[in-house]
Amino acid sequence: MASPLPNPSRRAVLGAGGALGLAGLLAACGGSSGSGSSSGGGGGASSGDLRVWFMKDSVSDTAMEWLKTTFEQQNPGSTLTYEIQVWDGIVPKLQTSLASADSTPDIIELGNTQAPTFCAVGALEDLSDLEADLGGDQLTQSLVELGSFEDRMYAAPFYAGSRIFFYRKDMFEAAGVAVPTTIDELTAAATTLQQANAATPGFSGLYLPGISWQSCIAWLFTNGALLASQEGDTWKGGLSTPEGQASLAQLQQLWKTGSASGTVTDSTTASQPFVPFNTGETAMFFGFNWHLKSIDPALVEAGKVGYFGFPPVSAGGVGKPFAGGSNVAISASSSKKDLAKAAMKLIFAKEFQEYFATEGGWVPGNLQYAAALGSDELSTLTTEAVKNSVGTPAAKNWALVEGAKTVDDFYVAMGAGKDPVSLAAAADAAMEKVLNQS
Amino acid sequence: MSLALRRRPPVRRAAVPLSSRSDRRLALLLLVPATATVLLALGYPLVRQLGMSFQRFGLEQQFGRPPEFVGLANYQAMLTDPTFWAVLGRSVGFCLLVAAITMAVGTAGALLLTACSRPVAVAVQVVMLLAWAMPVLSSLQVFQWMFDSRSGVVDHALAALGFDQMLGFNWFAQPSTFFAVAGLLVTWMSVPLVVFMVYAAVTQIDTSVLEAAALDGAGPAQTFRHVVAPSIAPVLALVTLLQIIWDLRVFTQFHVLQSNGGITEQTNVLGTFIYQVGLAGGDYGSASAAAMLLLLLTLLIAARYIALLLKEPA
Repeated sequence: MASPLPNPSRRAVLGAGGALGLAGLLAACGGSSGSGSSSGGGGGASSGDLRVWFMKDSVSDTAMEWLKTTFEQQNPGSTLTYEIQVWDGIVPKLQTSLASADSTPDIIELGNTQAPTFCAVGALEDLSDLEADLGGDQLTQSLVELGSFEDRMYAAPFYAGSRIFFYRKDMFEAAGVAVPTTIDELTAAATTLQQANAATPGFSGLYLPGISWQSCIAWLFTNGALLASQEGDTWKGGLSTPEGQASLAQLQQLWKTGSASGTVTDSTTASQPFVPFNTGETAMFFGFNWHLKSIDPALVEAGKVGYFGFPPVSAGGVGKPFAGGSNVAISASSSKKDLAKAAMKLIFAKEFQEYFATEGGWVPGNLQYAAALGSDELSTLTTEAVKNSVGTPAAKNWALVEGAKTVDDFYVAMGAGKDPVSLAAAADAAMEKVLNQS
Repeated sequence: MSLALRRRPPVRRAAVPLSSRSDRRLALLLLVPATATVLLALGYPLVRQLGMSFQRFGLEQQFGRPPEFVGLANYQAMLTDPTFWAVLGRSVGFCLLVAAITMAVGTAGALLLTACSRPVAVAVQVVMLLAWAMPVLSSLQVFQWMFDSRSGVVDHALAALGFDQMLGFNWFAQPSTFFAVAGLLVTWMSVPLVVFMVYAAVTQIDTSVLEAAALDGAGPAQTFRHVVAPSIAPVLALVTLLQIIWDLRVFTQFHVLQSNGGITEQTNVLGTFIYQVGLAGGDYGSASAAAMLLLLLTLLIAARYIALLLKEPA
């Protein structure tokens, strides 16, 4: 062949390929972490910019502005910058950013289910000396436990919340359905509502996405099972227990006849259960009291929106929803711990704590200020729900189970109608493997 | 890089009068910044990762506790883990299939461009450049919207065409359709580069050769097989290899789409698996071992190409 591609160009191509290929090869080995530089000493600069990470939907704009302004007034020369993080993928993000002094935020919010892991590995500053200043005995004790390791508190209770049901009074009336008082009645009510509204495409009696595992575990807890429990030194998964299996049978029955939303698997869609509620595609959803502000005001004003708490298995029992909530902590590798502690005291001041109740709709970490939540029906139900709520295992490695999405995948499979027995055994084994590794 | 120096064409050496020692020293000096950058930016993480793959390196170590040397335990655990082999098989299958489709579509597109009038060819290339230059997260968001089960245009279009059962269909809930959407997205983002490179190579072919082929009575298929393809073979080989490497270590597309699916375990490829084990699972040692295995696999795939590069005469 009369060399249509002359040699130089052929070489240039090969050379360029070499460079690109090398970059490709080396980038193939991503996932290397920052070096584990954890500065032991406290103290640090007396002024500077304090970086605060709060989660989406946790702290209201009003509360944030108050914190920023007050902090900057009390600490002339210093500033406070806050960034809003999303829950999805936060565990890996914290693992990498907290480890290095350059990338770490100074104050972080941790989901209560993730707190034990970060307390145990030395990622957080010991707050035991500060505990009395932050509220002492008035702090929500279940959150203090999740935020402690070997009797030292590393992550203080930030706020708590639990889900309750929102329902359409007009739809209930039209279908002749009463507010359910047991889980079976809930399934029956959802089924009747779904049949009564069959003309609406995709209508769910109860909107309950399979991916919303934190909602789904209310069935597990109310039946008396736990995600995992400790027997001696070993953790044992609870999905395969008779109580766990009973809860899965109830859920799958619900998804079969009373909810078309078990196959919803998008976490963003699932985090907005008020959307199908507003569009009349469901008669009920299981959400937080602060979802009220996302509900169509026309529905609320017309008196069409009602609330009820998670029902028990049988009359006389209690419904046990998942104990949602967060802890707040100072990163151990922060270089501005004194400033961070000053800001921490402001976070536990009356004003900021009451904003949780008045603006956010959460139960504040310091229960002394919980009365600010009010005494209307929604607030009373929420307070009751928080009181009866059950948490995820207080295990050192629980955050790793969440990181592996074991529970998410499991409830998605349940929502898709897969076999509860074999999948529960597999999910239990996966949880046990992670929880029991040292 | 010293190879390149030694291979400097003799013609140039004769043309430039040189005091060879100082010239050589200057050349070496000029190479220092580039070499240092490569060593720092790529060498350090690689060495550290290699080290970590022989250590028990978990979350405690990430936050300051000294790691323990465990020899080949991480590799042994990885190689005896059926999950790893399942992920490996999935990754290799996905990357070969998607790379093949990308090459076929890209080459066909490039040949089509040569047949277009110039304004059309330019317009198509501009559009392709825009698609190629679009940040991957933006493309992902568009694909997520398109395939959304509630309001996505794809489901509605299919339903309008008469496939009623596709209304509200969840593409991300089964591995098969999940991989189809992910593959489509990866292909869509890689085709433009293939088109550009193949088009550039095809337009370099001496037109007299093509004319001669036409005079000899070769049809389009024969012309491609016997004239065009051999002429652009080096480019095709290079682009195919790069596609395979890129598709093997695909991460972002899968990581983001997994949050739509809730079937994380069944849709993990090597990139997301390493992330899951290391960053989400807090086992940096095992994840490093898996990453080294991925690197080894990539080197094996690229071995022939690297050999070719080293042997290539000046």
